Amino acid sequence: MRLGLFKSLLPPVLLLAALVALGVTGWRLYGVSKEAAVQREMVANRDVTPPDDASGVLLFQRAHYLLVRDRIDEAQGLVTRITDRASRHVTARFHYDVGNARARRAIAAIEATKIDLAIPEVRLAKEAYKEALRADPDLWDARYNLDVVMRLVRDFPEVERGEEETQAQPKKLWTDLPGLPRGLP
Amino acid sequence: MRRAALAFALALAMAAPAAAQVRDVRTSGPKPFGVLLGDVFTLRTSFVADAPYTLDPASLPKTGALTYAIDLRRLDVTESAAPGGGVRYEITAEYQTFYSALETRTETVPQMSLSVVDGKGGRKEFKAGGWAYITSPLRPLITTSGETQYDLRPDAVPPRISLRPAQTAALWSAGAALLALLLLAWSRAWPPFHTRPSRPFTRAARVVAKRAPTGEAGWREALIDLHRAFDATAGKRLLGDDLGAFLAQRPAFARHEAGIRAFFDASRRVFFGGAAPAATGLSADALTRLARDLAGAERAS
Repeated sequence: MRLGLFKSLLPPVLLLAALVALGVTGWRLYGVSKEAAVQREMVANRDVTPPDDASGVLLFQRAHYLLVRDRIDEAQGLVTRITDRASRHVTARFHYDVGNARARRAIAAIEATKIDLAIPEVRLAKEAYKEALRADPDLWDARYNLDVVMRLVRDFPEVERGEEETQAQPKKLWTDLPGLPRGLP
Repeated sequence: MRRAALAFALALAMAAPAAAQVRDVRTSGPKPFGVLLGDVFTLRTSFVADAPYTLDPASLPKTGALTYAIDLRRLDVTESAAPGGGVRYEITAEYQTFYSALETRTETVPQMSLSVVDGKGGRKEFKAGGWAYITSPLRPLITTSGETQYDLRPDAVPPRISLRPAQTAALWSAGAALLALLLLAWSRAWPPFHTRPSRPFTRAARVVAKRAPTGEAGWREALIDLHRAFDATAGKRLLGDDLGAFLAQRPAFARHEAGIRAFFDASRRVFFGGAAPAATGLSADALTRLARDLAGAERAS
């Protein structure tokens, strides 16, 4: 009797499950094809703003579009959404492209002998490349470009190291103290 | 150096066991040369803390930038029982170097300052996990191939969003839905499976539902149709007296025994007793319902 009930109920339950799966996958396909359409627009050099629920890859495409056009600040506004939604692979490439845009600015400033403008850009480029390597150590282009910008404006690690140690010591003391009131924002 | 430390720890352990809280401190790393900018390497540091001492987790270094050149990416601590009593701790630390070397040179990973506590205010600090490696530059100092020093590697291009995985999934689920629909049609003897020989009651239920309400003649025909379905299911002409054996053989129909007996009783009174259909108490509605129930029971058998 138990088996008989199973035999008579199985086909409709199977059909229902398959229909639910069809609905879910169909909806997903619809979403992906919409994203692909937006991406095609961007690749065709049209200034399209991605929707709020865009995927990480689409946001990276938008950032790439902005970075190639030297609109770094706008691209930087996407950073939290990209790190939240994209894989580490894509996040690393986003940071790498930010670094490249900064490096291009710095090189242009150096070639125009405006060293004061170049120094902060180099510093930001280094941070971006390091961020890229933290997300994906296998991104060799980021290593190479980090090496290039490191030599543009050389750090003085010995000096910095000394500073860091003197600064780090009291900081560590404070953070280890238990029950330190943090206060409301 | 390591051996000396080991020997010292061993000597200490032998000479004054009560004084040794931490022993057998070891650090192992990968090849200590050919480390390039951006490389990730893992150091394993292990030591034994004698009871009642345990590692103070607050003394472990925090992940993040450790020095100018080195980041601590990850830190895992595993504990196991040591052979001589106490706890063996194994600290797995993953570092990444960000030092752009101009020439091949030696860099060091700073030692971790760890401490063990005995839970009664006793505390002993020690250092472990230092390592030295040789780092090499990625590029020569002076380029000879004629390119400028500023040549950057090109931008990373975003990957194209592919429809393929979503399409495949949708196609698979559409196929599964079609198969499930076919299975359902087969199980219920819907077209194109409506002539399935093993579903006589399903067929009869359709005919009965059509004929039974069309008056006395239709009701009689419906009765005969249902009889034929019983015959087909039993594999022989089924009479009212054989019902007990039939139901024992097919327990799926036993639930509707009362209805079946009423049906056979009505049939006998109409065909052999000459009674009018209205006098049998088996209405067209009841007949249709019985046929439908039997079709359901048939699917479950």
